[in-house]
Amino acid sequence: MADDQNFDAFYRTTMPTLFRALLVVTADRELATDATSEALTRAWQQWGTLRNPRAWVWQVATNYVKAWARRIGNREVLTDVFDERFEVTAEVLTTAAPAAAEADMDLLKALADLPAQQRAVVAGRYVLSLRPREVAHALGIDRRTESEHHRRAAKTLRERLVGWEGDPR
Amino acid sequence: MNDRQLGERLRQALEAERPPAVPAAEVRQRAGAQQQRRELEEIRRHFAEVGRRTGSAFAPATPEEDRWAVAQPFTSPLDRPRRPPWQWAAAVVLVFLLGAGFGALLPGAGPNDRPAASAASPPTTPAPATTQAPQAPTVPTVPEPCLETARTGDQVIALLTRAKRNPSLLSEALQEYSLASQACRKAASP
Repeated sequence: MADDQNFDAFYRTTMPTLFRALLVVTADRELATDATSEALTRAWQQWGTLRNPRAWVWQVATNYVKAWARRIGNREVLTDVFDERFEVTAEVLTTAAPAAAEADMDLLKALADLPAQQRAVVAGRYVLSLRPREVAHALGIDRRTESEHHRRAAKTLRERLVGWEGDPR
Repeated sequence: MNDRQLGERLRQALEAERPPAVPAAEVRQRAGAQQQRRELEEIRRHFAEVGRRTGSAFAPATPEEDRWAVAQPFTSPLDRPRRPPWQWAAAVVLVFLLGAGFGALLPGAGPNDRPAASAASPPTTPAPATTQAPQAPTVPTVPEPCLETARTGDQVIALLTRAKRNPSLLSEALQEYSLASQACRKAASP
C-alpha cells in the first residue's frame, strides 16, 4: 500500500516532465507517450529496488526511443541513429509541441537547431533536473562527452535566443 | 542568459504542454498484466527448452509440428518423419512386378500354355459315346499358397492406398507377401 502511494506521488511529478523531455528529444508525441508509458510501467514493476527512479525512467525511456529508432532505421550504431533519426526542423518541433511553441516560439526554434544528442542532454538536465552524471549514464555516454554536448547546446541556445531577442522584427 | 535562466525558460515553455491523461492506477494495472505475460512466456520458453533437451512428448509443439498435426491428426508417431513419395512408388512397382511374375507362373494362365498343351496332346479319335461317361466341366485349381499370395497382395495394396499408412503393418504385409509368393512359385512348379 505504501508502495502504491509512493509510486503514485512519483508518477504525478515525473510523468509530465518525462513526457515533455521526450517531446523535446523526439518531436513525436506518440513516441514520447509510448516511451513515457513503457518507462513508468517498468518502474512500477521494479518499484522498491530503484535507487534513483527519476534517472532510471529517463534511461529506460531513452533506451526505448533508441530501440525504436534502430528498428525504424535498421542501423546498428545507436548514437548515429539517435542523431540521424531525431534530426528535426523547427516546423516539426513546433507541430509536435504546439502549446510550448505558442508560449515561446524562439526557444522551440533554437532547440530545433540542436542535434538530438544535445537536445537529450538539455532535456535531461533542465526538464528532468538530472545531474550531469545521471544524464551521461542514461544516454550511455561518458561524462566529458555529456559536458561537451551541454556546453555546445547552451552556447547555441544563448546565441540564437539573444540574436532573436535583439532582432528588431 | 545563464544556465539557470535557460532551464527556467525551457521549463516554463514546456509547462504548457499537456501530458497524456493516464492515471497511475492504469499504469500499475498494465504493469501487472505485462508481468504476467512475461512470466507465462518464460514458463513456455522453459518447457520448450526442456522438451528440446529431453525430446519429451510433453513439450509444446513447434509450428512445424502443429502443421503436421493439422494435416495428420491421428497418425501414429511411427509415421514420422514422412516417407518420401518415391519409396511408395517403388513399393507399388515392386508389388506389380511380383504380381506379374506370379501370374506368369500360374499353370494354364499364360497365353502360350493352351496351344502348347493342345500341340503336345496327340490327335485322338473321340471315344464312342456309349463308353465315355459324361465329364463334369473342369474347374482349374489354384494352389493354396498362391491364394495366400493374392490375399497378401491385396492387403499390401490396401495398406499402400489408404490415407493413413502404417509402415510397420505394411512391412509385415510385404514380408508375408514375399514368403507366400515363394511358396506359390514352389507349389506351381512341376
